[in-house]
Amino acid sequence: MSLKSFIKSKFAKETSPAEAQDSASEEQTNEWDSLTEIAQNPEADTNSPSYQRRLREKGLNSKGNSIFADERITKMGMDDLNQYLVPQDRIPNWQEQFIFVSDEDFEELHASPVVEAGFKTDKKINEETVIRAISNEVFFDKVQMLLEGEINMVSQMTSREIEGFDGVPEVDTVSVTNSSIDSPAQLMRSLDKLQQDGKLEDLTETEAKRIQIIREATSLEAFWNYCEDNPLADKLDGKDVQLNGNDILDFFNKNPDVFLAALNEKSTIDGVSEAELAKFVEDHSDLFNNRFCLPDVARNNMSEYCRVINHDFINKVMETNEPLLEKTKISPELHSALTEGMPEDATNLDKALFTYIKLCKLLSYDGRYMAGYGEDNLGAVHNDISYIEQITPENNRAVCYELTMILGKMLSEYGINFEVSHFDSSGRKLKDAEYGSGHANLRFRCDDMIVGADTVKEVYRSDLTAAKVNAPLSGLKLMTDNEETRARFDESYQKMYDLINQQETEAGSPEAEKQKRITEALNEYAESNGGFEKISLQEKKQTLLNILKHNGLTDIDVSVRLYQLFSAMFSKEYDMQQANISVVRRDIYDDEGENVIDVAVETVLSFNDTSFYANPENTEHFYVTNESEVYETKSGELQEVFDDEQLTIVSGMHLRPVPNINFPSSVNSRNA
Amino acid sequence: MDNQELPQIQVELRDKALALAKNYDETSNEFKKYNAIAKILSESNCFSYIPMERAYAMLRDLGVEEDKFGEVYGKLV
Repeated sequence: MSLKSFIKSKFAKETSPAEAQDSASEEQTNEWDSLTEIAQNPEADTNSPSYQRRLREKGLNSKGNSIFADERITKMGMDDLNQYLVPQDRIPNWQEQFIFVSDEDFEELHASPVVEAGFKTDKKINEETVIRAISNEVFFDKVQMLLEGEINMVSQMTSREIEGFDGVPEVDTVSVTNSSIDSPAQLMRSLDKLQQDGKLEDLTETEAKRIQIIREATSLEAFWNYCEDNPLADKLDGKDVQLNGNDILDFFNKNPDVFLAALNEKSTIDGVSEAELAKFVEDHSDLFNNRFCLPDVARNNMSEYCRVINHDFINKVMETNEPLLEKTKISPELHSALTEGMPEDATNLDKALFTYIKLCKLLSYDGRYMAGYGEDNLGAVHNDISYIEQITPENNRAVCYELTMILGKMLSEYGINFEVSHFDSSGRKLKDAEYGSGHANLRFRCDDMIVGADTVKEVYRSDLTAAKVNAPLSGLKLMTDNEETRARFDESYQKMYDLINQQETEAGSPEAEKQKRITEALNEYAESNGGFEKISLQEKKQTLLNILKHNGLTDIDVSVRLYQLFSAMFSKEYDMQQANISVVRRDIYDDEGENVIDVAVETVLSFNDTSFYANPENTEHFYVTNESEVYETKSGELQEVFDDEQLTIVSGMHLRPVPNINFPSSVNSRNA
Repeated sequence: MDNQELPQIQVELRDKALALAKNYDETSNEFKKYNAIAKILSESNCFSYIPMERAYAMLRDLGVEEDKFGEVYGKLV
């Protein structure tokens, strides 16, 4: 039997709408007469739950005001929703799920306490809404539509005219917090809680019947019947899977101790793996948690199962569909360097991580690309995929597009699937992006892991830099919170990183050996010296500025050198609060001042004795040109320069903006 | 040892550290301290690799005048 039929069968007779209205009106009239009598009785308890529900029956709130908004407000609200609700997101009957309440009713709804029912993660509903659901016919009609699956929720909204930013009146349509009926099970659990708390006494016959309808529609029996008629289906990693909901319930409806003990062994339903079952349950969680009131034990076990069993990889990166893969040619020298020293017994994950680390150690970022953004022949080669073949350990400057495709090509050689994505400067994914647009990275799938790989997440703090000084790599991201999976990933990552570093040391890499010698000597010094005196911000600042005067560097090397010095001189305690380094771009125009003929990558250093954010008026800025000239300024003057776009911040991905400066929305940003 | 040419002042400081170390028994704290300083000063751009506070502490231990710290630091970083 369908749920629809099941509900319809609960009413003793079919009534026409007119008859229903008449009989309801008659019942209400009689009861209202009683209410009037009660109201006239000075000893009547107008605060009693049953009296209040009589008011709701009449469409009145506790203050005697109409719950429902008038026609004008309702139409205004619906028109407003019609304008901004995305058409493709609308379900059939979408308009039916809304009830517009009056302005006077808004406060009452807002103040109503939440019913503490269900799990912490279940959506909450307030008492007032639960009462209306059973006491008021308009509300219960909506509940019935919800039970029959004709609408997804019942939402109480308000709509009003407000003054917009430019003084033009606007319509503001909002839903009232905790005043939506999100699911049948939520409503039933809340009704049970109110009954337990003694807040549903003296129900009318109609109210009791309505509760019974809801109870039966969400009961275990209703679930069993539904599952018998409706096998559950899902597509998991390309495989069509069908399972019976009752079998799933039986699997999970066990004593938690027994269930959790079984989790340590392979514990699933025949025909599906543990990960597939977890994904199946997650995909049908609406059924198990919201449509029917299943036992809490089963719901709890389902939640724990989905937490413990990693299923985050299912249906992701199942194949490689990269159109540029064939065009990606890696030079023999680079290919050899990337695979040199890879263990013979390496797993696929080992191979992927080994290659990523090697890539970051061998190649470096081409800063000319960031400065020129592909214009004026500065780094424009990086927009052409054929340039990849020219990249070698000697000619090792690259940007994100090449790094991503080189990594992808190697992964496909190992039989590992991947997919490339491009992002704009605000981190939004670009659809159908061409090679050379936005910022590129990839994610790959290795067994039960989806791993994000972004070599140049932050231009000045990228893994291309980190790997060369054996620092932790932040561009690799395992896309699951599952602890066991994470432990395996971390183990492989550390094993491959240690192996490569050891190979470097044994091979005598000059930089690695130097780093190691200095670190060892520094540790010896620290052991024998005890404490160290703190150096004031002013002294550090002055030393840095003095060094700048004599460094003799030009172009982007000034910024790079400054960044190195800054990292050595300003420890984390100053970071973000008192000392900052930002990278900026200055366009260089022709004599007519019309065409950009070159770009300069320059730097702004900022200092504050206390804190940028607590005392912004104390911030000093030092604009350092690409010829090492230093110009001292304050925030006001610097703000004007950015406002006029004489300088633009190179914000790329996570490069820091200048503190105490507001950047206009039209600010240029350069992607890595 | 790094084969790159070191600034003159760095060579002088390194040699001073080695000379100071010789005044102490090899097992002593002072010997270890000056020996470690000499090792660090044997590397080019050594101060780029260590926190500024450590670098200043080394200069202090070698008897460099406080008002010369910035200048010397700039040559070694």
